[in-house]
Amino acid sequence: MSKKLNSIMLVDDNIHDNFFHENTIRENNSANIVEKKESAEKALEYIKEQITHRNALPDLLFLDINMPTMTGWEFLEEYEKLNKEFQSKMIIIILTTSSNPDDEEKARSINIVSDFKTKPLTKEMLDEIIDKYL
Amino acid sequence: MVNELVKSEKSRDSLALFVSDNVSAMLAYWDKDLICRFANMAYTEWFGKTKEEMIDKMSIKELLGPLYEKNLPYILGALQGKRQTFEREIPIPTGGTRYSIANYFPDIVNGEVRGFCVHVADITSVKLLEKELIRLKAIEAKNKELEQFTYIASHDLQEPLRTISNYISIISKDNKQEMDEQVKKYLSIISQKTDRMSMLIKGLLDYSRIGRKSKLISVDTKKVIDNVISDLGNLIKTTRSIIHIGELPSLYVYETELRQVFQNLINNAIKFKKKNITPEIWIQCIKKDSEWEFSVKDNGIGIDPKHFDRIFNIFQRLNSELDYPGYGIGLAASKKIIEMHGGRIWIESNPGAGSTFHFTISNLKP
Repeated sequence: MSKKLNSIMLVDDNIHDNFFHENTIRENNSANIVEKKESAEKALEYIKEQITHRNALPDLLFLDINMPTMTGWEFLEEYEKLNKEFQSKMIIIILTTSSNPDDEEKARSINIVSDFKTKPLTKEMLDEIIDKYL
Repeated sequence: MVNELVKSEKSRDSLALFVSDNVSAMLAYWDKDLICRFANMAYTEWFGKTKEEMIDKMSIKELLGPLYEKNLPYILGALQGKRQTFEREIPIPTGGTRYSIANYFPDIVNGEVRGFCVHVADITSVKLLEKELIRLKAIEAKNKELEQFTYIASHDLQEPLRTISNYISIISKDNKQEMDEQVKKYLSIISQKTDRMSMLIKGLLDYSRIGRKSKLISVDTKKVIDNVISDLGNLIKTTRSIIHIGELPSLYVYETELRQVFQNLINNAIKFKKKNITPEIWIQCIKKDSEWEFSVKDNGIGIDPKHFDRIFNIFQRLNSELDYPGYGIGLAASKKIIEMHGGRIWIESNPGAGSTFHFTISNLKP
């Protein structure tokens, strides 16, 4: 088992996936706080608020790609516009249904994305990510 | 040095005539009063006239008939000293269409237009190729659309499936104590089947994407097979399979894809082995005309010829999942890949007599 993080954020419009992934994180005892956001907009709003109040950002963010209104890609574009000082502190992992190599290639070409994973999030995956990036 | 043949002006003229009568393009000269002053053989033959009927006698209006009105803007343009180019589709009485491109070159002397030269070339073969190209482009677009459809469908199908298996795993974990063996068994079957469906959808997606972004490169096909054999090392070892490899050529191929074909065929040859008989596989290649014909022969259970057509269809399986687990994708993918190489794939087999898969590959140049 890897170390316990303070906060992990899940950004996914599928509430069942969020529920299941939170369950996995809790069972694996990987974080004190699990922030679930059902849209990229809400996630962005939360991040901006944290920055304004000089609060810490989540240590780790799992981002879905295919979401209505704002996709994961669009979220990343907006996030990149924010204060650079905060960006290095949050590890972003794409967690999607897609095993489409095009998506994976695109994700790997984006600097602020650390990894590309296919759902569902498993305990093994969590441990591997935390050991590798945190 | 002047050749004997062209010493006099007269023979130079006859030489020019000989040349113009032996070109496939239609050539003619119309003066500013629109009387024919010259026409080559191709021109007179096309209109079904003789040179005697035409030259110095016939007007362009008389010759063209109903076509005159259509060509008039170009005729007037040429008489104003401007070069004209236009295309025409002409139905041929015997069927089909002749496509031609016409050029009118004005003959200008001291700023005055004396007439114009007509050049009409048959571009039917070019036009037909152009039409074929447009058709291929449309097919290409359709294929892209289909691939996009498959991708979206597989993505959207995958999602509810994952939710089912996630909740099954939560139910199983949270109720371990209370559940009796029967319920556990049912849940485990649901879980297995959702996993299988997920794999099938993924297979469909992979199948639809075969050949995308791949490039033809020259490779030693022996090396491709060696790599496959090393990938299948464990399977070959545990089944003690023996693989014989003949002389193999270097060819321009889509390497990753061809490797997948050999992987599928060798894997199948071992998978469908007879009980208590060591699998033995023979891989060969012979050159036939412009193609190379590969064969992968085994001593396995064989296939009834009545199933030959079916086996190359996606998701088709001839055996129970229990005896021979699989998704029914390998041979369909192999067929698609071989067709990408401009080849064919087929099988020779009989139940109990082993199978030989044959496929051809044209040595495609990138």
